Amino acid sequence: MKKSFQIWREIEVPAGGQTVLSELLKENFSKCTGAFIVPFSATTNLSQVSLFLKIAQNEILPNGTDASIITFDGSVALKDAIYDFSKDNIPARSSELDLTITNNGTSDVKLNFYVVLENE
Amino acid sequence: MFFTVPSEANYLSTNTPFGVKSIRALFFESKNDSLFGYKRNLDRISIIIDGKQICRDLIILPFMTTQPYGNRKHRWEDVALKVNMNVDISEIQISGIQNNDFNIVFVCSDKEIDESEGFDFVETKLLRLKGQLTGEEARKALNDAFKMLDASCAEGETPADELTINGITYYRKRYTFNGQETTTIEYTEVKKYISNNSNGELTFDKEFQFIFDHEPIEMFAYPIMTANGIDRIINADMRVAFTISGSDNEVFPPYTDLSLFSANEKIPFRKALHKFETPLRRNISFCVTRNDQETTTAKEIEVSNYDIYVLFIYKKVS
Repeated sequence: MKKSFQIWREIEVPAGGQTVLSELLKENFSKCTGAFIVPFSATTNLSQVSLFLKIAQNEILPNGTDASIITFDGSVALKDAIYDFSKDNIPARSSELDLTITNNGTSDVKLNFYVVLENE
Repeated sequence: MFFTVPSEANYLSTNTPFGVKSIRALFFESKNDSLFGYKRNLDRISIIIDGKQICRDLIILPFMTTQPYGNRKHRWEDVALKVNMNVDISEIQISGIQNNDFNIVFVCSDKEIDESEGFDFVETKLLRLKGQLTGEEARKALNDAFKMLDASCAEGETPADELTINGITYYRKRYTFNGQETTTIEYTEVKKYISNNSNGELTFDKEFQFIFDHEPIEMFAYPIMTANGIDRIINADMRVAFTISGSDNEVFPPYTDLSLFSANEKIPFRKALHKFETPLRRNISFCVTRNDQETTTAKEIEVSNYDIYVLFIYKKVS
């Protein structure tokens, strides 16, 4: 099974604001099996950040999901930190990904968002 | 408001006309409209206006005012180079002209440029994609991302040698150097230079120029054209012109058949790679055009499914 990432780097979310991402997943991978966030820098504080993630009309993370659930900060192995939805059979292949990041904190945040793609 | 400078000498110096307060853009107009299709001129022109270099070694793409066969629509805006500078009887210096079959047309105004005007000419220069990575930043981000990808693999999973960052797909290639396997990675950057626009039409005959600004400069490139429905593209007899400005290297001669560099079901991706031996300079341009003879098949093109990519591999120098 081949595995790859599709990455959105340097997503900026202003304090008290939202950033919306809507893009297509790569067409040459059949399944989307996971997602995770990496803070852009060590000082990035994601404690007040929440997410809404929908892929191919499947609500992966409901509105207001705590970002820490899918944040990889290096404290555990990456494969254990990835938010795994491989059992949900989410198609990749040009499926639409909708991500809304809400920052309720008082300072802007910047993060990298990863989705895991797989192919048989 | 236009004024035109005919190309008649290898070097030309003239002044902007009295009353012209700003130059907004320039384009090259063919003097010979009886030629159908894109006629590529090999001149590499440099233009300096009032001491400012507007373009250097620019490969020109003449614009034709009429289209005898009438199945294509051109606008000068499609081939214009944005200038947007104020002038006042300013000196225009043009060098590098080898042929006299085109005019240089300046789009100008009797008003100076006001920042609030918001003029928006179509640029021939490809804009950098938002978030595109360059140089050290690219290598670090890619190294980190590939390391993470490797680390994320559990038993039975294999890391792919490609990943996509901010819409650009990068590949890594493991290879053997001096008989020993090395961990050095080559990254391939795939850029989608010509694709369906919002009107569902391909942009033909438009020369793209861009600066390949990765460091270090010592690199090799493997351009490739790949597309969906490639058979139809071959039938349509499309040609590619691909050159590196600022050098004497003609990567593909004019009117090279696109199919030679196109991967499809019969020609695998790797075999379609075309290696050229000369290290790339920084200014690169290319243009895809239809054959100027095959008007019948050109009409039959259904362009809605085609994407054309150019791919570069650049080698990290240790």
